[in-house]
Amino acid sequence: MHFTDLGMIAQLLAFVFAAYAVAASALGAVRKQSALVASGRRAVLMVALFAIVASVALIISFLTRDFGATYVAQHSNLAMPWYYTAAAFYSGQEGSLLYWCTMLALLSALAVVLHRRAPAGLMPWVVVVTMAMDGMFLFLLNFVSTPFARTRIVPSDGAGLNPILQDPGMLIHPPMLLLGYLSWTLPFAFAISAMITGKLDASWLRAIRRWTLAAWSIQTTGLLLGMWWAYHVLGWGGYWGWDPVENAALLPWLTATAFLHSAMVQERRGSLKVWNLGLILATFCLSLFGTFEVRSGIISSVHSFAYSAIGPWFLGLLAVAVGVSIGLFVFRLPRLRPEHEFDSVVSREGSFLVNNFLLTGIAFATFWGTIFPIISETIRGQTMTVGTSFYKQVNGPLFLALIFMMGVGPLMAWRRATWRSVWRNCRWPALAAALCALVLPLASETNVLANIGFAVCTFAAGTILYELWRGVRVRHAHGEGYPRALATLVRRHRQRYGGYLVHLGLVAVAVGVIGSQFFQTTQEFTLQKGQAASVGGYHITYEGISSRQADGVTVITTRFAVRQDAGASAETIAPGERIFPGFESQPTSVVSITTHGLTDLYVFLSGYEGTNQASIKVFINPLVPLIWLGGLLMLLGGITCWWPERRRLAPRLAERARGQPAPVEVAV
Amino acid sequence: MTFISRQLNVKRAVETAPGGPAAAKSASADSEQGKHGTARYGFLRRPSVVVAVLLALVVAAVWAVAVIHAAAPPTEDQRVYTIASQLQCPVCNGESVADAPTPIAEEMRSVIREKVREGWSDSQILAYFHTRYGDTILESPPFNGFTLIIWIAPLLVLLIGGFILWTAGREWARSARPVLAGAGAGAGVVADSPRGAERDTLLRELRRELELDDDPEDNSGKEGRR
Repeated sequence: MHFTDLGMIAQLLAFVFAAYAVAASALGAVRKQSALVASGRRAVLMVALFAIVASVALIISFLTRDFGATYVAQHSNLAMPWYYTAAAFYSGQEGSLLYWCTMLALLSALAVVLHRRAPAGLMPWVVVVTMAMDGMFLFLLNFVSTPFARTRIVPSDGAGLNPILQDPGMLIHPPMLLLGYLSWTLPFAFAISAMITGKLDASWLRAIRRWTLAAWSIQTTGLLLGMWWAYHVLGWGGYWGWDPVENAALLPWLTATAFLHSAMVQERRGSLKVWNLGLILATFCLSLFGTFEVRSGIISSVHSFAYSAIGPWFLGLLAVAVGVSIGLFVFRLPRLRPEHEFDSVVSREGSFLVNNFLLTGIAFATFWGTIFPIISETIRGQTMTVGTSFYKQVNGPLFLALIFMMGVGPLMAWRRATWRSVWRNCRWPALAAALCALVLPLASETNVLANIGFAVCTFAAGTILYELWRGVRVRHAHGEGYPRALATLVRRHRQRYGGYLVHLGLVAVAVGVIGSQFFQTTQEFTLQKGQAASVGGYHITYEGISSRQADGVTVITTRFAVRQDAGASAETIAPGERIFPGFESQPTSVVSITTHGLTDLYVFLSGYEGTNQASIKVFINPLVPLIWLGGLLMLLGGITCWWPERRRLAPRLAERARGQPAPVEVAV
Repeated sequence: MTFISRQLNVKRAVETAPGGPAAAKSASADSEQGKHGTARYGFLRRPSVVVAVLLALVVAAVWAVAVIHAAAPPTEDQRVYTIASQLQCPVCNGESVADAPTPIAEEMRSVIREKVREGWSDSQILAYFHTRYGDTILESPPFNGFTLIIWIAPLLVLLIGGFILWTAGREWARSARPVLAGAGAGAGVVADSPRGAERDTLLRELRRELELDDDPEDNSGKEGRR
């Protein structure tokens, strides 16, 4: 008996329990039999258990180098260190499917446990939807493409993992991204349940608020990790190429971000119900599209590591999901009347509408550019490429408008604001933006577009910091030290200040993007030993090359001395490449990235001739470190929003209110 | 007529403003301005707005000068890179000629460099490759013929969306006007928290929270037992 057999049995049992959970929950909900519903709930836990067993079995098969299993033999070899061997678990089609099923089952189990007291009528249907999804994927896993298939002839060594994937990024980016995709299943399930049961007030929204915040944070992290990985590994000096796969990951993020904002309008004012449901359904379907597009190979991409024949199955699944969503949506449309109309466009709600308009606009343009090659192919029989300049020209201005709105929006009051108050709140940031616009050209940055971008970013950051400052100042006036005042402020209003942190992070990312888009310089050099080259104030001297063996991997390392105009001391950098056994024709590059202040010096070894000559490609990327810094801020803000509110305050306030006549303003 | 109603509103604001005299003062200041301009755009007469406009003019002037004096002509390397990044590497997946490491991309880069040295313009060089390889060589689809669709569609969607948003906004403004007239601009001002009122509310909230913080652990212990 092998571990693969155990895995086979476990995934079959998981499938059976998933099917049972769907049937029991649906029947229990329809006939109102709570015993059946409870039984369905327990079945979810069993699905999670068996999915974990199957995953562990696969990981053990990898770690014990069981090359009798086809999947193991195809994706690992003896030379790989244990961590990449374990990570090879999700490197292929079948394994990533299993990962998908396991994580979804775990999240569903978590939802079942956490929402025991949540809106009762919803939960059985939530179980039905999540387990139906998981069941369909488990079906594919069991009967169409299983990772546990064995061959009679056991090879002595496996084929190994694509060298590009043997990188620390592999350990965290793919699981994060997949988790981000699949975590939207739960909000989707709640939305579908709300539509089935007809309980379309804000209760389902409240139930999923923290799920959506968590899903959004995971997705953001996944995207930023992908950018970071691409930047460190691919050697083209960039981090985002508007490649179809990257777009597919961005699309659900855009609609999800729109949802996070418009959901606040529904929670407060009871309007935008149709729109919110639509956004949740769209986010889930786009997540499915993202999962599917990579696998199907219908759109060519540099990221297509796993092709397979299950593309049509995914397409079918996507069609079912879209069909069911739209059907239920149309069915429930009459019940989706808003409780309040909007009072004015100049209000928080209005600014959220503009935010949604921009985000969906970006999403549409991105989607359109991604699928345009298919449209072109079917109509004209010619595959068209849609390159980065399309996205830059269409999405760039939209993103800029979004950042501007990020500055103005939070300053507007709910229901109705006056221009007067908006102006009062943003005049200092506007002044800062004007000063920025003034100083930059004087400091001989003459690119108008970049300067507009920087000014808008200054404005947005200014409004956020000004808002923070005003809150802190009020608390400080009452005897709290500044740090403590800030901490209390954030702790008391987590969602609000967490949101500001995210905004601040996004502004930092935007500054980084603008900097690297407009001011990147690049130059190629071929240098003899001892010869020096100069670019953008850096003087680079070639010093030599060496090669060594490490665990079967040949590591080529070059040495260059870098001296800056100002600083006298030289620094040694070592761009190189690694040649993996079995992949001699595709060496992976070791890019040298050194950060000087806020500028990255990015050196890529493009070739070498013997020991005396080397060719390098040098990129000078200003402000790129801000992208990673901003990413960290966004993650921090996401966690702040997500972190549970302290419940201690509410009962105490109520207690006090009972004891003494409550002032009217308590309801603030 | 409007003036009288405004006066009334101010009076009401004085009575109801949680901020007391400070709020009322600011409200009447607003109505002072209302006498001259329309109430809605009265803020345009404030000194800070004047300063902003002046500042905007200065910024525009500086930018104009900067743009006119702008920029040394791009170097040969920069031109080659700019042109190459507008061409798609024919044998790669979505990489431009500027970035692709393949021999054909290298070849094309050297052709571009040659033409640049011969004095061809950017668009001439692009057209040269376009006639040889067809539409697919261009990094983004050309702005004419069939591929115009790709550019037009997002613009169209944005326009339609913007139009819907605009008409909806007008609709709300119209339906909300009676409310505005009834409650009066004064109420708007109060809700909009002149500094005094906002500060007072915040202060009250803060005081309450500080009081709550004063009685520390023993209370939370009670909370835990409950």
